[in-house]
Amino acid sequence: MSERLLPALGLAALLALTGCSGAGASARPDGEGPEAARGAGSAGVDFSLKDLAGKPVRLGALRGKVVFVSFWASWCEPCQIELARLQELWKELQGRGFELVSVCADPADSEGAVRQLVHRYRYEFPVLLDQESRVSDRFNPTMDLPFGLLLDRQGRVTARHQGYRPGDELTVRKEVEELLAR
Amino acid sequence: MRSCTQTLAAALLALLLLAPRAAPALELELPWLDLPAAVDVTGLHVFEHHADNLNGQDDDDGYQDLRNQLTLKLAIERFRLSVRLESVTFFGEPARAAGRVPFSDHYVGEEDAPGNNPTFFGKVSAGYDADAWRAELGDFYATFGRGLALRVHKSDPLGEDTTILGAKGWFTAGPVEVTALSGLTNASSPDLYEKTVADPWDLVSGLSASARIADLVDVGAHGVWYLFDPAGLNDQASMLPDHTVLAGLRVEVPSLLEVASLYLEGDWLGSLPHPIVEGQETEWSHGYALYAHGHVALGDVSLDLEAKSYRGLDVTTRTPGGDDGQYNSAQLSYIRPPTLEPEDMEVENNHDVSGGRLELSYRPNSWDTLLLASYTGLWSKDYGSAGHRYIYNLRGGVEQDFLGSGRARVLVGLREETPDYAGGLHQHLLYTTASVKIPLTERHSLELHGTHWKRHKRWADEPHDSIQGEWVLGYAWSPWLAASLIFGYDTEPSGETELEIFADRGGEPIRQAFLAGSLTLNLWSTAVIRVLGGQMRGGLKCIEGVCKVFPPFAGVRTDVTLRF
Repeated sequence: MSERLLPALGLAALLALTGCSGAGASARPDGEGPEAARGAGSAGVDFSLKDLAGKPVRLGALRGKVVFVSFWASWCEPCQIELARLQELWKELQGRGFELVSVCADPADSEGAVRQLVHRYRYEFPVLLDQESRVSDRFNPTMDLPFGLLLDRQGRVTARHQGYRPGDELTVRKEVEELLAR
Repeated sequence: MRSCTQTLAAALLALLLLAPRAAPALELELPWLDLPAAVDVTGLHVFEHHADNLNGQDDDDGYQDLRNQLTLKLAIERFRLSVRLESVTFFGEPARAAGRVPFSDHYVGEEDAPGNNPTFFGKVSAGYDADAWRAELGDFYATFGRGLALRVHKSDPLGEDTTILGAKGWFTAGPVEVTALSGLTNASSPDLYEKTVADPWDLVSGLSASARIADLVDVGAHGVWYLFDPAGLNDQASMLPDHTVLAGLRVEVPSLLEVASLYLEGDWLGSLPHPIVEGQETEWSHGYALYAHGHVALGDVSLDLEAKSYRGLDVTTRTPGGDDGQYNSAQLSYIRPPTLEPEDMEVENNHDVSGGRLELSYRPNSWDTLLLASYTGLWSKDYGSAGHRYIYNLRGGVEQDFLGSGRARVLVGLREETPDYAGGLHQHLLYTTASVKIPLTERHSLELHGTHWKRHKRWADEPHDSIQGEWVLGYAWSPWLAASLIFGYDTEPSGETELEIFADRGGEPIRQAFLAGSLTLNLWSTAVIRVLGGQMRGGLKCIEGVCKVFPPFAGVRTDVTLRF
């Protein structure tokens, strides 16, 4: 099986190398009109997860906005510090079209700890539960935490952030403001 | 095969060099398909040089290994394809592994087993996400309820990544949701240290349904059937059940007046022992699980209450033995019932236990201070005796934010295990975790964090004291680098009570103090390079009630993560 699949994989990788372009430099004529807001014509990131109230939330509904998706877990202390800083940024820039969405990678058996943390640190942004790692595994297969994806108004990934060091929020702010200004 | 892997590696390196600073996702223009597509590529490459770890054994020293993990994720509209290509190459090998037959992985033939051949497929999956349904073929993770009946998931700290290889479907119609799945368990690297990747090939099939009532209450039911070792690969089959069935009901109020939540679950377990001799009549044994969790958040206070009662709640398998059938005892659990204790506690028995937990946190709105307290009380069956033990775990702490992004935290806990019969093991553990993060300037910071455990054991009036801990002093320059010094200590393996750098065990030096340094470079958010050199302590590592013994490490470890 591996002998047959490997050449196919190599072909896929070659295609990726020859037929791809960075989203930031994409020649696609996507504007910011209604079509772009729906993500038409782009391979924008989309997924659906439930929030703490048990209601499904679809990321694609935020097309037209700049979105930072932050992956975290209850046992990850740097994640908690980063989320506090990101919440400040979100509150400041929300009116200009910036949204913060967090994806909690905790398994189901520690949902109690997640609910504690959300209240303890007064998180006001959406907290989505990824208890089967369906979304985390797709965007962060090495499961490094914290991990962040910055999406432009078309939902395309423009930057990834792995780990948190105090001051990283300044880098995120700069990137967000660049995208908001486009 | 090798040339293809080398081509991929070269292509990844070229991408790294050419990638712009903020690495975007790659968009594909597929000429035969008028649909937008995106590719995410993640490469993890780990090289380790194992020097003498001074653990009193020389059969795990003096070798190097290189592990690569290349994950390709292709998304075309709502279609997903994921392939994880892995390789394990040993330069030299630990004496412990010499002469042993590596296991075959079910994606490759016997001659291609990891350790023999450097490249194999770790995980492969394809799926489609529609609004009202999802379908997955290949490897997937799965959880029903709070993990009492089924939880097949990744556990990084334990080096485990088990999936189910099969099919999974989910659909929703109005307030009703249904999930159905079936497949064979695919365990990755449960025992890489001994050059073995053994799949137990257990068959797991499950069905879960839930309905939301009055937009307030979720009511659900689930059933899971485990058939252990259906292919007859495991020469330890007599130590496994043949069939296990779990069926349960659950009720959840995820948000009540936006201040409270409630979760209740009850499960019944039936298990049929594996016949030791052909034709042997065996009888079903029964178990159950009851679990409740309530959460209330009122103003500055939040309160959690959990209670559980488990009897015979065990869904554990063993990975198949090799030709000598003796050495591989890696155990995998397909459920993960809540332990009600901090996740790193050494929970010996989470199958036959009852108890509860109360946790309280208080954070005045106008303060940057947080106060925490929790109490867990458990009544647990003792394995190997008819007795029980009472366990309590009391923990409290304080957290203080300062200077914007600075934070200090201290948690102190006391855990006591007392048997209800004479001669049983008595354990007393005093544990502390502490951390402080100090911003120096906008981009520069210092950090100190660590843990300290002081343990006292008494068995048949024979006392034994030990200490364990690890402290990290770090400096970070955002977003470029982080450097740290790591100091660890562990007197338990040597049996000594005093902390000296080396203990003498029958003429063999046993290292008790460990010092390492690490440097992490973050390059353009495309590559993260970590280098660690020195010694790291090993020992028993427990995560959420599942424990595994790791050897101490001495040498150099380099890992590189690439993302495109």
